[in-house]
Amino acid sequence: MSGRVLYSSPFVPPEWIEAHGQTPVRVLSLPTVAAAGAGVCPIAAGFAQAAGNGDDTVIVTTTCDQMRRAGETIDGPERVFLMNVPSLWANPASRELYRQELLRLGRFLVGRGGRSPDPDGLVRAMIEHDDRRASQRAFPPVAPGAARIALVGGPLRVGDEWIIRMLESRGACLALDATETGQRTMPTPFERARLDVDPVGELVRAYFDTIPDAFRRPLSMLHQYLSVALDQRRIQAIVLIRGIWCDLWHAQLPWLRQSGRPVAEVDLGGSASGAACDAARIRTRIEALLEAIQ
Amino acid sequence: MTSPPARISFEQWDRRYTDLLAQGLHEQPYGGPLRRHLQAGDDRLAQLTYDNSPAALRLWNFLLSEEDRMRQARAAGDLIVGTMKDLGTVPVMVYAMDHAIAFYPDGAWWTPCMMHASTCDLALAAAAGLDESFCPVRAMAGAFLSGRQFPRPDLLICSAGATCDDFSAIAARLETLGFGIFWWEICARRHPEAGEEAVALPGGGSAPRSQVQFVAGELERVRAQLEAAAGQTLDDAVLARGIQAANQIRRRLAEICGLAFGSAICPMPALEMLIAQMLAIHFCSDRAQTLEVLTDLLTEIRRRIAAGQGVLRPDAVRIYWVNPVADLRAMNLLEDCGGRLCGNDLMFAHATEEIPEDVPPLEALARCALADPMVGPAEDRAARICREARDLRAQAVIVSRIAGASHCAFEGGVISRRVGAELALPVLEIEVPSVSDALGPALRTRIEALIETARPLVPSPGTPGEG
Repeated sequence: MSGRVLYSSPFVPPEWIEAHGQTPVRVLSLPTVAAAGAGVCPIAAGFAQAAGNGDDTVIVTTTCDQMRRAGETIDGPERVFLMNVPSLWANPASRELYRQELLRLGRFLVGRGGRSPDPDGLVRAMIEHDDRRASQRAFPPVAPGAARIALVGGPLRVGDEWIIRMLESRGACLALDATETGQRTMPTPFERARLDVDPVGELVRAYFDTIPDAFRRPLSMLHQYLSVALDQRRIQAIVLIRGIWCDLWHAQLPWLRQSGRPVAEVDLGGSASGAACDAARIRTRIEALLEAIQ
Repeated sequence: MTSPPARISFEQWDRRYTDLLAQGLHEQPYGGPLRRHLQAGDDRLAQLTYDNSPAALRLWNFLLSEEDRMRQARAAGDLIVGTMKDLGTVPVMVYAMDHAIAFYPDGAWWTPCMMHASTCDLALAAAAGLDESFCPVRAMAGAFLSGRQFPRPDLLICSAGATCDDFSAIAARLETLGFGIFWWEICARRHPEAGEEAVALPGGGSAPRSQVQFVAGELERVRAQLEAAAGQTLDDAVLARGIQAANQIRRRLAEICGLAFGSAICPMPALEMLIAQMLAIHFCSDRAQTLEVLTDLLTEIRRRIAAGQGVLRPDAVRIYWVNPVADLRAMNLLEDCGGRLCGNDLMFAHATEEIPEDVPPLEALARCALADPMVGPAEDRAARICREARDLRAQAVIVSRIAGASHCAFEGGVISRRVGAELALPVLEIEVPSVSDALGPALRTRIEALIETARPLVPSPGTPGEG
């Protein structure tokens, strides 16, 4: 066993993995997936592909149906842990289930060569990660006169940063990254005073209680977050990014449009042979959006 | 009234109905000629092929008159509960109460087929942001928005968690449009770990005790919601009676399936079998009538088996079918191509299994909900399909994909591989859209090729069975 633990979901706390003596590695999906079948989400398939066939431990979550099922296609089922991340954010029983799943994950990691976390080690790991995230929470400066764009949606894949560079090269700036790999999914800062009392409870609060997402029910948590963030960041236009078959994010399009801002929806495609076409299509859509607001 | 069993066209049913009336056909208030449903807009009916029995006529009339019953319930002041995504669990709770009915808005996914895409509410769904990239169940949103297909329910209950993303997204969109939803959580079923207490589930398999307790707790919340909405007490004794009544229907359906799928002759066509199975999910807004309708069907099946009269050629190839079809015509096509349904997994096997009666009611229902093939690993579902296909002596398996459904993409491959490896049977994966006419020739060719492949070179001497 490599001691590496691969995961993709923002609901998997890396500090919890680290406290078990393992190395957390957040894996982005590979951009192209050879021979993905019809209807297969390129992000889910890309994650399964990135998980490889080695002896790394892999954590898959139930945050989307395709990702849940993609876990069954990963070589070596004994190294795959399916973590139930409940949908109902305001339901105390769902919250408790998340906590129990963290504990079950801990036992799984011990079975994979990890160690039971000592309280001090867990708190130390939590503080370290919290400090690191603090520097990532700050929004980058916005050039005067630049069109303020928000990216909203699912995860970006390896190499998709070109979309951000393209925005910047066209005189716009990324004023809010509300994708799954951006600021939206960053857990709220830990309440340090609570770390010595109930560190696992603080993980639950920071992750389960505060991260908004399209799979969570009701949607008011996500919409409340977006309403505030879009206003605070004075967003002029929105790029909704999603995997080609992602209904969870596709269904957010009408709500985003109701915010009164222009929205361009781009799907990330997924076929290896169509990557160049996908990029051209995405570029054209975003350029059209920028022309509309500049 | 005993004519030889046959599959007949819609046009032929007109004449058949007249003959039956002349022979003294006794019908329920929802009875009548099938043609009136066509005139009401269900225009796909004209292209389907039907069983010619009075029992089948009653089945169709019962199915197609649900909207009338719901409007009658509304007029009578009964509680109308829309139960979404959950198949076969919450309806049992609703029907345990007095003056309450449950219906299944998800069932609107057949409206693009029955009423053809041009005249149904798909345009409304699309205008609400639910375009054709979504599963056909988006028709449900159109139905809610138009209010034409069913009255607005007093209470909407929907499961979330280990569900299809497409459905969950559509339901959540409805909520943002003002249709309040009471959500309950269904966790993804997993195998019990070493040292963890396991609980047996209906239909085989098991789940950790902790998961059963979690789901029972969620159903406790549903119970409180129902009690508040109905102004009634839904205590364990009342629930237990509801479970007994549901089990009566499930046993009846099991008898039907056992005979229809297991007999040497085929006593009932695939389409009528599909409809009969659908009734078990939510009782089509009348639980008592559901039992009677199924009893009629069972009687007819028994009669035909005793007489050695089937509706298909004896050498029809036995096909196990996976997933419901958005276009009902596909069931006819299977038989037109020389196939015979010998078993199926319509994604709600748990809703046809008997609910345990020897444990507290909510725990029993929780076990049932966790037995849902869609909340567990695809490998579990594939294993069950293999077991059933083997027991039912299937000669081939068809995995029917649902366009836009999140579960199909990975699951179809898992099932196909397992069936191929474990049973060495030919497997065909197809996708059936809501109206498959344009793809009809291609679908026919593919199914015919499968059946040719699966048909034994030497005629089979017959298979054992009640026939």
